[in-house]
Amino acid sequence: MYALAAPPSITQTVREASSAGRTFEFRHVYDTHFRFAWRALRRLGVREADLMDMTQNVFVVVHRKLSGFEGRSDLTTWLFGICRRVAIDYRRSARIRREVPADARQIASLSGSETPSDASDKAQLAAVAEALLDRLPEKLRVVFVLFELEEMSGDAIAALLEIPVGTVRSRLRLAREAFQREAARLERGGLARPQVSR
Amino acid sequence: MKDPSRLLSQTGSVEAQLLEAVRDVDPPLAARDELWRRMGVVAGAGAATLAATSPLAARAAAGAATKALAKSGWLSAVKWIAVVGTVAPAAGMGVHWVVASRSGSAPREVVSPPRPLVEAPRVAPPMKETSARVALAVAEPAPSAAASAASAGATPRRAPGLAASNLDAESALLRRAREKLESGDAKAALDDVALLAARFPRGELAQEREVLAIQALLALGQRPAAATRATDFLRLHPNSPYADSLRQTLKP
Repeated sequence: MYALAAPPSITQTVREASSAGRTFEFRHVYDTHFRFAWRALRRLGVREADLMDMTQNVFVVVHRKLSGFEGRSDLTTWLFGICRRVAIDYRRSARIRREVPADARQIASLSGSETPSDASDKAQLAAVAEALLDRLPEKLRVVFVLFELEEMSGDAIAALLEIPVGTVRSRLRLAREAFQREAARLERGGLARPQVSR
Repeated sequence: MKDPSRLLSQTGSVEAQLLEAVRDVDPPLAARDELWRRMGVVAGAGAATLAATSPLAARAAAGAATKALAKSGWLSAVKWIAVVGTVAPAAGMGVHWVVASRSGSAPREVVSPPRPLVEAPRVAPPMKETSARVALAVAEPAPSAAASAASAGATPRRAPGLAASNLDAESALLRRAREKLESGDAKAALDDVALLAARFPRGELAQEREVLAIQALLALGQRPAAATRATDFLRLHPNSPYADSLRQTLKP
């Protein structure tokens, strides 16, 4: 008999997984974690133009796996793990290299909640920073992003990545050195440094 | 051993400014709702479907279209244009094109004005190879990619407003096909799949449609045909949420 999983149906869409009194319903998880997933993917190297597609991939996986999520880890941590795998696949297949600096106007037009000039400056700075992140090897990058941007502790990162905390710290040190080196080069004018109005 | 202090806390440093800028980047306001719509979690009459469309499909479609043409021939092409002519007024008017270039850094959107009927076939998106196979399997006229050459590399997508109604229709038809399969009429399910492929060649539920076709072929005992289609599917959508179970299916 050739068993094949049926395409997801509403029973799966609304199926709830519960553990320790917590329930997870797909729509709720989507609504509360869309921003998180989008931002995590971006920080992990998914380009602007592909963010929606990759966020969709993340939530397709979430949809499929949510019923099996047992609440043993924090939902956000679990979701970050999915984002990470999607981002790794993405970077592997797309061989993405971000331009430095990226077209700030395009990014500003999509991001803006602030005044145009400020948003534009900040977007340009973000684009440069993302380009610097792109230069980090994946293993260093993920630790760096989790520590510096997600503000997770070394222990939590070790648990998420299933590596010793000593490894987390050494990767973090290497990543910071590389990032700081690039930032210093930026300061010296090795890259076109954007104007920052602050 | 304690964690070091974060670069973000070194206010005013270049590193902190760079990281702050990244930290503060947010998705566009409408992105959440737009993606929810795109994923096609459509609550219909007691059923819903999650469209697991892979972005890889768009890239694969351009190449596959050429093969589809070779397989279907010109006679079918003429029939296909006739089919599109009848479907397009409902589905294809005022098509919203999103040109998502892999080399560009952001999608460029161009809203085209409603086109006159005579141009309808040009609006029709290219067929995927898998869809062509669906059509061949049930001896329906195989759609052609003749109209697609001009749009190779472009990814046509429906406008949000249109998407809802088209997706509803596509979802309803897919649901009907699935019900037929579940009730044991795999042949009728395949017919519906072919209809789906003709009406929604680049439908949001194209992957679900193909998976259903493979299930139907298995139900009919046509394992070699099912395996061929599963292989094609995996080539087009290696990261699909259905890929794992299809690979299981392919194992002897």
